[in-house]
Amino acid sequence: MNDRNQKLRIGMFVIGGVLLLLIMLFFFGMSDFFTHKVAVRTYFSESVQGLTVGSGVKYRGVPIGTVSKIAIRVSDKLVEVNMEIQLDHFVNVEGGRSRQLTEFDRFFRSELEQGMRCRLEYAGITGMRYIDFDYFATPGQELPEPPAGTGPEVLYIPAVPSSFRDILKALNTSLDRISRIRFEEISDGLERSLSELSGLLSDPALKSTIARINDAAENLETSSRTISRVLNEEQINRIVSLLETDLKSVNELTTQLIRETRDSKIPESTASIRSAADSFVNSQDELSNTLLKLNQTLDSLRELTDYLNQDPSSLVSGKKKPKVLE
Amino acid sequence: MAENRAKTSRRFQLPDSVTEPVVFIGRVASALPLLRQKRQLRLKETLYYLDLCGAQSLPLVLLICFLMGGVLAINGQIQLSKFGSEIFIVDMVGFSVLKEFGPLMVALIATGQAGSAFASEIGTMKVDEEISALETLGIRPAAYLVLPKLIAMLIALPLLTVFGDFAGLTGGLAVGITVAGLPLAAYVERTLDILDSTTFLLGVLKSFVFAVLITLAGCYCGFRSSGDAQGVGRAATAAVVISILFVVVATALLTVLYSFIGY
Repeated sequence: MNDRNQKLRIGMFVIGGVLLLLIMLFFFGMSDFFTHKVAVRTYFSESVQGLTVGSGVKYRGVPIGTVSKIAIRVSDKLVEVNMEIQLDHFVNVEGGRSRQLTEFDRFFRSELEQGMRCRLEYAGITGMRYIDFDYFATPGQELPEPPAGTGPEVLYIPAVPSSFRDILKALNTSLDRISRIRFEEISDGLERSLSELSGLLSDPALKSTIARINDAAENLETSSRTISRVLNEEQINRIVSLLETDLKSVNELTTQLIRETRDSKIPESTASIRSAADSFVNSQDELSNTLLKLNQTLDSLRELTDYLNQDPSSLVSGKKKPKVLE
Repeated sequence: MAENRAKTSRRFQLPDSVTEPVVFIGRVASALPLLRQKRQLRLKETLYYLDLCGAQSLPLVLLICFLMGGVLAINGQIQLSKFGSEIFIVDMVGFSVLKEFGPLMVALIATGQAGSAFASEIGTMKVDEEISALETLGIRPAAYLVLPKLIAMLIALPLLTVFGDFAGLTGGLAVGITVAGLPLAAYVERTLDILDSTTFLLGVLKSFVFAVLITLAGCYCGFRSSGDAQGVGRAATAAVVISILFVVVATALLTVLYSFIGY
């Protein structure tokens, strides 16, 4: 009996252990062998820090698969990420494996045309990342060509830069712009300006000017007080009414002046004056010629007078002939 | 010539404390081919040790591993709740139990349960000169006494580890859903999501190594015991201490080895 109990105990222990081993193996991954998967590939030009083999792949937040392989392409330095999508996560994709694959392929290709792309997202505060499939592009946007070497055996999903990369880029741009500001020159200029301002403030002329402005302000205030004391409201009103009357008179006078000016035919008079001025300019030229000729006449007359003074007899005998050497 | 060789051998002779364990391992290894003969298997003794080391240890393993999983989960809850990330208790408990604590705790229990028993049993046989009698009858004690224990341990310890892993995960689950307030479905889903069969099997693989170490240490200490009652007691104590030391060192080495292959 004791021997039988021992055998029973051992049998239960062994059978229980083996069963538990098989159950745990099944739930810890062996079940994967019975699920249909499809290979999907993407390429990232940015860092995939936080993404590892086994990281999740989600479609609009729904876990649909895992990352199966991460590699670097030496030809173009792109990070190649291969994923395995489990078809069990898609409802209405039923039937045999080939039919499931066809349905899945049709669905994903149509969604790519609708703007579906993949992007790296943070899974939490731990720095781990996952790949999210969502509609990051506008519907109908042209699909980028897959990098060279992407065979038809896998479905290519174009990637878009992660939001973190966008933030980093904006930050880098801002920092670059800030670095271009010449703080030293600004500082020097500011220091120089402050020094000059300090010198200006300590200038005695400025103090004197300020004192004069103060005096002027006091005088102005005194004058204002005097005016206020001399003129009351009634007087001001009377002055204003007189001003109004004067302004009306000036207005009437101006109107009358304009009318008389119009009647006086100023344009015609101006033309006559301009014509007279032209004639005067012409007469001036003629007068100049006359004066020139008169001047020449006076010169000849002076020469005649001088000759007669030297030889008065020539007036009777005439001009002597010059002696000729023989 | 012969005199010179004798001098040389004396000059380079290693101490017995170094050579004897190696010789003992050699004896056990040389006895392994005997397992091909059904008569040498000694099924009755093997089942006895399987019962002693496996079935009778099971309640203790389940209790200790369940509590260990719970303790891990409580500590995880205390720390992780500061960051609002209690769900990571699942990761902490799952990986700790499957990779390290499950096999380690089972090995320590087996050390106390089986290692000391092996040393005491063989030590008592040595006191009663039964081992000398076996040798006189032409029976190799290493094969006759060690192999059934080794086979039993190689079957029992991995199975106990599977039970221990399950109990540890259940302990973590119990604390996770009661103390940390995690939904049962979320805890189970997360557990199945993060743990894979490789992690589980690598943990179980450790238990094979522990089984060999505990059996060899227990049996060796039994064979090395001095011929009195106190010697048997000392042998049992030494078996436990050496086994624990070997198990912990092996855990460290295997963990480093696993890290090289990415686990």
